[in-house]
Formats: sequence, C-alpha cells, structure tokens
Amino acid sequence: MYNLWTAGYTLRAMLLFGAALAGCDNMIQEIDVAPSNFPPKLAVSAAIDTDNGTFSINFTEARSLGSYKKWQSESRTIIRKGVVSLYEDDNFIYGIFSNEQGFDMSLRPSDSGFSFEEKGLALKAGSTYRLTLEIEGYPTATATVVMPADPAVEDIALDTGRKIHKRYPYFVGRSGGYSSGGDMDFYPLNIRLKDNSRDRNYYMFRLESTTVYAYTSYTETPPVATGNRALIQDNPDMEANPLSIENFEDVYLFERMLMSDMSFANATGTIDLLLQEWLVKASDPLPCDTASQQYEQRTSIDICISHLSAVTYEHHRSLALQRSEIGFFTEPVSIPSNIENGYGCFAAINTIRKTIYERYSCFPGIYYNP
Amino acid sequence: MLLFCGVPFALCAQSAERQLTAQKYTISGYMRDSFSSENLIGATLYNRSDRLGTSSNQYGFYSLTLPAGPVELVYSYVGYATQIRSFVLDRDVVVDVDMVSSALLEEVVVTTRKSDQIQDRTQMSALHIPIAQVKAIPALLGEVDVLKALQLMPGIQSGGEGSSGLYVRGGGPDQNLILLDGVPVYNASHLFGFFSVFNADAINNIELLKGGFPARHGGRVSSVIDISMKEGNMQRFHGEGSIGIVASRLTLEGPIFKDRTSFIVSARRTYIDLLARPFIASANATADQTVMPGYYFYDVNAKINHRISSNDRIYLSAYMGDDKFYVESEDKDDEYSASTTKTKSDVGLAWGNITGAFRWNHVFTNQLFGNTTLTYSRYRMNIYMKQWEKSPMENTEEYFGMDYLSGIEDWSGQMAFDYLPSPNHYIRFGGNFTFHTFNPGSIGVTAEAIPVDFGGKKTRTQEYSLYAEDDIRLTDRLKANAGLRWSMFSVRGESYHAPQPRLSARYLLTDDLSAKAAYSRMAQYVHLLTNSNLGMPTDLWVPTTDMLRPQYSDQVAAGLACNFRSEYELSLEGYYKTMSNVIEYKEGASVFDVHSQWEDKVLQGEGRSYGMEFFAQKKTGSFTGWIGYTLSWSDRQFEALNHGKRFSYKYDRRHDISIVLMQKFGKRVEVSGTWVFGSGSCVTIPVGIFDATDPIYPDVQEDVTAYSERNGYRMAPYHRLDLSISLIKKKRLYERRWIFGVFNAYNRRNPYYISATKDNRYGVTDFFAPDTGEQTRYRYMQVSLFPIIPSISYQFKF
Repeated sequence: MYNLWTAGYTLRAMLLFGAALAGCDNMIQEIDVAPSNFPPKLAVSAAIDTDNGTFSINFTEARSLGSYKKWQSESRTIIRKGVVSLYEDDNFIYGIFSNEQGFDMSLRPSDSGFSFEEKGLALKAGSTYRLTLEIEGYPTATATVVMPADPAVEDIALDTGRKIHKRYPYFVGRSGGYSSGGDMDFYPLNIRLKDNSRDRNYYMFRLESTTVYAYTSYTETPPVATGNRALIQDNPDMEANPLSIENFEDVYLFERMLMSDMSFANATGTIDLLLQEWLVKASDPLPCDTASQQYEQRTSIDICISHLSAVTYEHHRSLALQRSEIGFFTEPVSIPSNIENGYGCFAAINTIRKTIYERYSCFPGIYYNP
Repeated sequence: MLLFCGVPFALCAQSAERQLTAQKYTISGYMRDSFSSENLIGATLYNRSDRLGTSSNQYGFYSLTLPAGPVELVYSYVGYATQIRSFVLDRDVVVDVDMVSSALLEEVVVTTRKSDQIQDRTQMSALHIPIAQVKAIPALLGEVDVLKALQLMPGIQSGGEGSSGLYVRGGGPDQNLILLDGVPVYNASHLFGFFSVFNADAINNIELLKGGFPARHGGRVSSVIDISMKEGNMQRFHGEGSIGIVASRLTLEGPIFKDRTSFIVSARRTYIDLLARPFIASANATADQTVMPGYYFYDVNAKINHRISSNDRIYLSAYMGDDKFYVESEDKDDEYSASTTKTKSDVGLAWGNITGAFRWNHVFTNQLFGNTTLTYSRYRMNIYMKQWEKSPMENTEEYFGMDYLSGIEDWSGQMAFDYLPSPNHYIRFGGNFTFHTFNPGSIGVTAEAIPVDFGGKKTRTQEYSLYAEDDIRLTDRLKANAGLRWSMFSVRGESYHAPQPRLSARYLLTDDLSAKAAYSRMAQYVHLLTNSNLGMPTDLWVPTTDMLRPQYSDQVAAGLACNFRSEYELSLEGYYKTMSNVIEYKEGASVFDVHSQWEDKVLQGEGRSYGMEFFAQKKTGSFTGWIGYTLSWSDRQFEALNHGKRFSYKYDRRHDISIVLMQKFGKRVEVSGTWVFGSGSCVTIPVGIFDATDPIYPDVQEDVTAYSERNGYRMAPYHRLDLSISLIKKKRLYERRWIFGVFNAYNRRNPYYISATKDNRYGVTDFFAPDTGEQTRYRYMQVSLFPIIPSISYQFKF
C-alpha cells in the first residue's frame, strides 16, 4: 500500500483533475493506427550454443499488429509453407523444410508457435552464422551473428572454508514491492576471466547441480548470488546493483546471471559468485553396515560460463526492463532485435562447463545395480 | 581575470581615446516613460545629421559620443512619441529623456527613421513582443500568458495542448535560460504547464534569443528568455487587476519617495479549490468517508527601486510562487465505532519557485555603465503522503509518512559593464559565478516513528563565466558583433572548461534591407531529466558530473531582414544547429525508481535541427499582429536508443504556422484572433505483441510488446482558432475592460496524447489453434484536452 505507486497515482489523478476542469468528457476518441504502417513480421527466438552444439528456434507471427478499430480479419494467417536455413560462414549446415502439409507443427498463432531444437552441431568460435526464414506471407527474415570466443577462464576457486553470512533487510523493489528480509549462508566462488578484448563482452553464469542415484539422476539449476552488477534473467524485478547492495545490503539469488564485463573487478577480470551453503554442505553419511544395504549417491555442481553475443545480452536486458515497466512515468522499452524484417533475437552462445564440486555419499537402502 | 582587467582597461582606453579625439563629447542619460519613470529598454537615439546612434541598455541607460558641434538627436521607442533634442555639443552632457506614450497623445508622431529597426540591428534571431500585445492575445480561460505568447513566434513550439513549455529550434525544454530580472527560473509552469509563472501585469519587457547569441548570454544551448519586471511608478500611485474564471490578480505600484524610491507588488491566485469545495465534497462523500481533492497556485512579485543619485541606483526584487494539489480523506465520525480503525490521509504534490535579486547600477563615467547583481533561486518539488490510523480498540495510533523531494538551489553573483567609447563600438564585458545545490530526488519515509531517508544525495557545484563582446560598426553598411565567452563548471573535483566564440554580422543591402549571419557556440552544465516532456513538476534538474558531460550546441544562422514604412518588419532566416551530450532517460527508467542513482538512468547523445523561419510583424497602428511560419527538422541519436539509429525528436514539427491579428476600433473596442497550425508530435506507441521465447531456455515464453520506432508515429496535426474581444471604458479615475474570449473556437479535438490499451476479441477459432478463441490487440485512444472554452474576465486600472 505504502509504495511508490502512490506517487504515480497521485500524478495521474491530477492529470484527470486537469482534464475534468476542462470538461473534456467527449474528448477521447478511438483512432486507427494504420496497419500498413506496421506490416506483419515474424517473431523469432533462436539460439546456437556450443553446449552440446545446440540449435534451437521458435518462431511465430507477431500478433496484434495494427489497431483494434480496423481489425477486419477474424483470424490470423495459418502458415504451413516455409524454409528455415542455417549457414556457417556462408555454407549451409542445417535446414527445416515444410510443404503444404506443414511443419512438424504448423506455424500458427498459438502461444507456443513453432519450435524446433537440434543438438550435435559442430559450432565454432569466430564463425559467422546466418539464419534465414523464408515463410510464405512474410518478408524473408534474416539474422547474422558471430559466435563469441571461448570464455577464457584463468581460475575458478570455490572456498568452502569461508562461510559468508548475509542478512537481507527490508527493501523497496524497483516496482515498489517490499521484502521482509531474511538470513542466508554462502560460500564464495571466485572466477577470473581473461578479458583483453577492447570490445564490451557479455557473459552468463549458471550452476547445474546433478545428482546421480543408483538408478536415476536429475539435474537442477540452483540459484546463485553475486556481489557484482548483473542482469538477472529469472527475476527481472531489478538489476542487482552494487550500489543497492551497499545501501541496502541486498543480495539476490537467481538462476542465471547475465553480466557485462563492466561488472568485473577492475584489471583482475574477477567475478564473485556466492553459492548457497546447503548446496555443498556434506550430509553426514550414515555408516554402511552391509554392502547389500547401501546405495551410492554422487552429487556434482558445474558452473556453466557462457560468452554471449552483445545483442543477446541487450535483448534480455530489454525484456527484463519491459517486464518491470511501472506505468505512465516510465520510458517505454523497445526490444532490440537482430532479425532483419522480424522481431526477436538470434543468439550466439559459447559455453564451457567446469565442475566445481563433487560429493559422494553412501546411504542405507536397497542396492540396485542394473 | 578578464573581469578585473576589464574596468581599468576600459578607463585607460577611454582616457586614450579622449586624447586622440579631443573634439568629441559624450551625451549620456536614461530614457524613461514620462508617466511612470520606468526605464525604456532598447529605445533608440541617433543624430540626424550623420545618422550615428545607439540604443538604451536593459536599465534604460544610453551613451553616445559625437564630434563637437550642433547635434539634432532623435529619441524614439515603439509606441511612444518621437522626441527631438537640438543643441550645440561642446562638452559632456547628461540628457535624461522622458518619452511620452502615444496612448496619452491625441496624435501619434511617426518616426521618420529609427536607428534600431530590424534591418539595422546586428542581432538576429531575436524576438520582442510588446507587453501590450501579449495582453491583447486571446488566452486560455482568459489568463494572459507571456510564454504562450512566445509560442506564437516562428522557431518556437509549445510542448502539448495548453502547455507553456518552449521548444526552441529543436531544442529541449531544459535548454532555455528563463531569466526573471536576471534570475534563472527553473520551473516556469503552473498547473502542470498550462500556465506560466509570469504575471503579465508585473512585466515590463520580454526578449527571446534563439540564435546569434552575443557573448553576454550563456548557460543554455537553445535560447535565452529575458523577462524584466516593472520597477514601480516613481510619479504616482497606480494599480491594475483582473478577475477571471480561474484566477484573479492585483498589481499595486507607486512612489515611496517621489522620484527617488518606488515599489511594485503583484499577486495572483487561483480559486478553483475554494469555489468547487462544496461541490467536490458532496460528490466525493461516501457513506463512511469524506474525500476532498483540491488544487491552487499563487504567485507574488515584488520590487523596490531606489535612486541613490544620478549615478547610482539599487533594486531589490523577489518572486515567490507555489502550486499545490492535494487529496484529503478521512473516515467519518458517525460511522466510527470502537471495533473499526479510523484512517485519515493527506496525499499531494507541491512545487514552487522562489527567486530574489539585489541589483546595483552605477555609472562610472558617461561612457561606462556597471551593473552588479546578487541573486538567489530555488525550485522545490515535494510529493507527500501522510496517513494516520487510529485503533480505539487497541488504543493505538500509527503514523506513516512519505516525502519525495527534489529541487535545485542557486546562489549567484554577476558583474556586467557596458562601455561605449564611440558610436562605432559598444563593448560589454563581465563575469558571473553560481553555486548550485542539486537535490535529485530523495525519499524520506517515517513509519512507526522511525524516519528513513534514501535516494539521491545532494550535489554541490560551482559555475563561473567571463565574457567580452564588441558591437562594431565597421563601415556604414557593415556591422558585426564579435565576442568570446568562457565558462567553467566544477563538480566532485572534476572541472569542465568551455570557450564559446560568438560572431554575428549584418550588411545593409539597402536602407531597408539587410543580410545577416551568425555563429554561436553554447555550453550548458545543468540538465533536465523528464519522463513526460510535459513540463511536469516531477522533472528533475541534475548537474553535469564526472559521468555526465556538459551539453554543447553550435548554431549557424543566416537570413534577410527588412522594414517597410517603419511599420512592417519582415525576416527570413535559415539555421542549422547541432547539439551534443543531450540527455534522455534510458528505456525503462523512471523518475520514481529510487533504487538507481539518477546518473545510472540517463543516456547522452547527439541532436540536430535545421530549418527556415519566416516572420512578418506590424507593431504599430490600430491594426497590429504577425504571421510566422517555420519549416523545420529535428532529430536525436543515442547509441542505446532506437538501436542506435537517428530518430525524430518528439517535437519535430515539419510545419508550424501562427497568425496573430489585433484590431482596435476606436478607443472602446479591441478585437484579436490567433490561428495556429502545427504538424503532429512524434510519439512511441506499442504496435503489437509477439511471443518471445527465451533463446537460451525455450521453456520460458512470454508476451512482449513491440513498439514502433522511437517517436515513429506522428499524431494528427494541431490547429486551433482563438478569438477575443475587449470592451474598454475610460473613466476619469480608472479604466475598465471586459474581455470575452473563445479558446478553440471551432472545437477542434487536438491530440494531447495517445493511450494504447490491450483489448480482447472473442470468437476466433481455428482447427490448428483452438486456443486462439481470444485474441488481444492494442486499442488506440486519442485523448484531447480542451474543447471550445469560452471565457470572460474583467480588468481594471486606476
């Protein structure tokens, strides 16, 4: 209740008051924003990632172009014909083709659109990748990216000997939300990257924790915290900001951190991440009385360090900002796109993995060895 | 240094020139209004035999050095009868001239040849509107507005409907230096920009420069608006006032000691809140609560003017004005029971300026005039919320308070000298210092009796400048003004220096036609952060810092100026202006986001504007008015906006036309009308929605708004006709005037802004996409503000 929205409401109320003074009851009229100003375009989300050589794409019609007033067509075009091509240094390396029977799923105005993913491509740092979408009824959409260089990791050190205690006090979020605060323990993870490029570089960090049981396994992406400025992909409510940390001692936990090298500590190229203490805390292993009554559990934590193309970072940054727009007094956020004749983003991601922690435990139970 | 070297330099130069030209003598003095003894600014005189002349400065002082012998001096000023003084010049003489307003004469004496007509002046891109014309222009709700009168001039655009904001030659609202008696006014708007803070009854003179800036002006990159207050009638007690629909105003002036000391006090207040209070109270009352919204503004101008001697004069002037919008609510007593919590709240927004100036004019010699000024200016905005909760059951009372404060405060000093060694030189030099204190938005919260402050920290900066310029008569036909201004800004241990060369010239093609050209470089160290560009009080003044660079502009202008029959002035000018380090909010930034420092919310980029302006004006006679036309382009380029591509400035208006006509029918009736046309403003609007799938993690999908290019949609053109008729009656002791006006006479629904909201439509089904039974589209609503509005006001003078 007591948040900054109040100020916005107050000012809007004042504008309305001004309008009421002028007696402008009938001074609002619906207008047509000619659709011809905004021709149909495809919305494309595509990525190539060296992690497993992945090429993923999702595309659909950009919906709702033009004004409601002149909306004559009752349904959007269902598109069933088209070709998607991926080129590496002008050499065709992968394609998705469709005929009258449609793609695997027809391109349709659904929420999910058309999705496809392929793994196992031999993607190379420094190569130029061009994506073209020739879809009937739309102008050909193209995008070109250069696969960034491998992240040059010089050192990774997880210090489980130093526990960091953080307390989050009361704070006001960007959109006016409140947090009541709490306590949490962390272990510091120090990563040093060699970043000699004169161009701005962008990185993404995430953890993958994999637990292998005797008969199954699962992977999760546990949240990670940082003291550096970062764009938080999963919770865009605000950018984590060292100033705010200084002022409010906020430390946020997020699954993926997108960072510009502006965030790195000067000269050293160092990033400080914070792992939650419980992730690496060794459980007390129970004694294994007999071999027939125990099973082994292996837990490993990988850090995935991705070097991102600039547009990928900016695209995500804008999405995060647009999600957190707070109304009349906020500047509109446009989403940068590298898709010519389309919306969206074709991302190039060069990922490396480093295992930073492994733990073996044995627990009593039914031992099963397939 | 320049300042301190300047005075001895001027005195030495004066002495040397005396020796070289022993037969020359100086005529100096003040030119004043005979009725009030007000100084006349820019009044002219010339010697009929050799056509050598000069004009009075901002304080009415003039100085003209001529060869010994008989002289015939012609003194003239627009709207006043010309006076001729003939005598033999054989020594330095002081001639104070009291000019008689033509309104007081039966017959108007028309000057045969004035030396300060438009084609004669070196200065180009200057606008001057007589205050009488400002008052005669039809006004919104009958409220005379100085800044809105300026908007009717070519090259100057208003922000939005009814706004008093000024956008000069493609510049932003922060790029105008608005001076009231030499003191910068940071927020010149009342009622969210619908009225300006300047009370026309208290104003003596308005001058606006939009290019060809002489070196004495600086601090903003697009324009200088110099508004001088009246000084108070030294002869007799006098008053005037008005009663209107929105506000009433009263001005009193007169001598404290005749011919030595005078005063003027002028005040204005709106009374919508008082008149509407009973209606609003009944309309907003609910069963258990009373709600009382209200709004008012007021302003007060005051000035004391004291003549110490013929060579010394001091002035003390002040302005204070505030706006307040509030909503008060309270749970009703009769519904109050022991089991419920009673709440009382007070939410509102208040903003206002205070300015003060102390000025000392001193005539060092009959060729050297000095002006020393100390000024204070403060703008403050406060959004506040106070809430009390009383729980009788628990016998507790809780208070929650929040204040969002921002503002700027200046202390400043200035010394300025006018040195006129001969008719061929008009030298000005001086210096200025300003101490700024910026408060760029901070929030104070008091909850459970514990105050917490967070947000922006105050920043203190210093700004210094020195200048020197000379208006040189090179030949009978060629005149130039060359000058240099140097400024320095110091913030957080960092200093910025900016030499700013200025040059303008005019060449007389014929006696009535001249060609002019000018170049000026300007520097600006303060910036305005604005979300809405509406002149809202939430706009934030911020300083140049180590992260935020000063703004600069370079402008070249060239044109023709001519005069017909001493009645009509015509000018045609072309200009090209570049601006660097202009600022904009980053996308997604908000003034209310106190988590980020303001410096993290802004971007700096480049701006460019160019165009052509035509202006035809008739200032005298029973039929007066002007026609202005502007053809212009204005754009911006920021690395991080619009994908780095150049985009139209919000007020990039291709065509802008204003026609202002005033006709007097005898002494009892005056009719006036204005018609304005402007191409639509450029806005950014959402054009659609697309599904964004996270390219890294395709399981994450969301609806994303696709916007047009930045400012990529142009709203409908703006045009409007206003009419006004004044019925005047003069009695022996007073004059009264009924003014009937119509704003937006043909009820044009001009766009104010476009609101885009999502709306759903049902009934769409598809075999492949059964989930599309409901679709969303943007619905665009054009909001207009003012329909046809009649007004009536009653004015009186005594």
